[in-house]
Amino acid sequence: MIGYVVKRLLLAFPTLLGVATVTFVLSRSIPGDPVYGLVGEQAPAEVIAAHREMMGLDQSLPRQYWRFLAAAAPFRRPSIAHYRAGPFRIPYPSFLKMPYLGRSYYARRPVAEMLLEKFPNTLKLALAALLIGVTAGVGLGFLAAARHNRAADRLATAGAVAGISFPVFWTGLILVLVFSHWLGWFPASGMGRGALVFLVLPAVTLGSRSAAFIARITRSSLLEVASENYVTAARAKGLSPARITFKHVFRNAMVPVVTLAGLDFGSYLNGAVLTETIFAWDGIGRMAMTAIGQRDYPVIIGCVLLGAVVFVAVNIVVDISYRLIDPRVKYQPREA
Amino acid sequence: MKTGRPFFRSRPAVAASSALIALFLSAAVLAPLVAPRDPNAVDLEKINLPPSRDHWFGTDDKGRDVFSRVVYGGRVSLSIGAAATVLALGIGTAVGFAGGYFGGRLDHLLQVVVDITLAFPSLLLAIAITVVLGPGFFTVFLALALAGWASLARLVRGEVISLKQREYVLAARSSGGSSAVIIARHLLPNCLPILLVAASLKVGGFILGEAALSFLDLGVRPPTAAWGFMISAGREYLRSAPWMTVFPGLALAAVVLAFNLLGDAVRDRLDPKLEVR
Repeated sequence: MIGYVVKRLLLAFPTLLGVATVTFVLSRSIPGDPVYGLVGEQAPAEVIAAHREMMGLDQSLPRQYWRFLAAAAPFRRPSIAHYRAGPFRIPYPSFLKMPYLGRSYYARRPVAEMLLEKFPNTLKLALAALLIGVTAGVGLGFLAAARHNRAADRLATAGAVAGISFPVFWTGLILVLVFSHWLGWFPASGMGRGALVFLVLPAVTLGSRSAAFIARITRSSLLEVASENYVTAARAKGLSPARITFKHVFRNAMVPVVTLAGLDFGSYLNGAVLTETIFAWDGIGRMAMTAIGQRDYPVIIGCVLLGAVVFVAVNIVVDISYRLIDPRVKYQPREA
Repeated sequence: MKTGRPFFRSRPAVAASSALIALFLSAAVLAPLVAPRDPNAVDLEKINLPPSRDHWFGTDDKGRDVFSRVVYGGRVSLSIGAAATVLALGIGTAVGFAGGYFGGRLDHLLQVVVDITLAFPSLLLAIAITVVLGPGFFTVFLALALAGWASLARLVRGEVISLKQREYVLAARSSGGSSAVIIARHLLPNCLPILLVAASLKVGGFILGEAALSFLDLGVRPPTAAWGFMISAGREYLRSAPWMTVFPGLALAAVVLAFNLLGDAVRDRLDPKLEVR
């Protein structure tokens, strides 16, 4: 198992390197001169030259690439740092650092710092959406499987296809229209200093699509497991239907559901861009949108990189947990 | 295809979704005939009018007829959806065949590229590409295809690897058939079903992607009517003129739903185990 974890982590390195390379290519293909973006076109020539040198743009492309990688990596050459505890300074080896992804044209702050600041908000939204997606999805899927080929099943299945087909941003706006403007139950936007009512609509919006996906997979997985031999055996043994359903069918059927939920979670940043824009939720997605509006390229690129890194990380966690549940599984990457 | 009841009669959903797609397609092609008004004709005396007999879907903040704009918006969505699907299928098939058929180092290299592409959340990648290339019709479909081809490549590669082992391919090779002949005569035709399923399930995704990009103001340039753009323009008037948002969204959902239902049905018919997202 430990061997598998190590192998899986090592396998992520080429992917992350590739991700960083794509990010570098994107960041060097942005329209306009990044120095102008930072200091403006009217800046004196020596200021522009100084910035160009500081940003390393006067160097050869391979060298720029290397510097980009070294700056973006969270590692540095190990050195001794000190931890202050009252009058004591406790030395410890340190090899981690804050990745440097350039500076925002507008906020004039390091992009990584800005990402780190907004990340908790997006994480909160994503976790709430995951909760809703899993609860509603598993519930609907269970209902559909229990009433297989009856009206409730048809309805739930149709609802799931519809849920997959509705654009996230439109669902969000309709929810605002109905539950905020017409019924007045929930606030239309903002975060309200963390009050839960503000979280409801954005989380439902973001979670609705995964609820639909999870409902589909739950239904088909439950039906598949229910027709396995060991379920027939349990029934022949005289176990109660409830016991069979929950102890034998449900548990085994949840394996693909867990995988799907994890993968969906990894791709929530996609939906977060749209959801956070609609609800003025102060997270990574909204930051990305603001940056696009301002043509603040370092921030845009930073958000894309973060999205990919999060996705790779979630994939690793999913793969490892999947393997914990079912040791027969072999490594197989998936998509957002 | 298996014999049995004709495909269209086998499920009402298939008939309904095919009809819906046909309806939207013809409305898009015949837009100048179907739309009662010029989609870009501004009439400042008739802004934000609710749906009526004159304006079936109401008018927007510039007095333009929402119904006409929805009809014209279908052109953007369907053409970009189709173009992106064709390009993504092209890249995916080429990469999948190259890796799956020739194997070895090339396959490894291509797999790494596929993995890296899959690691990016697709919408974010498409956004980044659009930002770099500057918005516009061509950019949007290129960005969607470049962000969406990798899963197709993986699918095709798997299929090619399994087809390559079949007796008739071995027979063709041992009787001196060149790689080109084997690919063109034996492998490609046998990959068509899976490509068909993948394509029909991908179109909906690309249409949603296009809508998302134009919602974020990264799609085709205004005043060209695009559904996503119309929805985002309606945001400001959500309370006073909800029809600006509701109708383009319904059109969008209907088209995507139709493609998804059709794709599901084709998949169930050909290969129920297949998962394309």
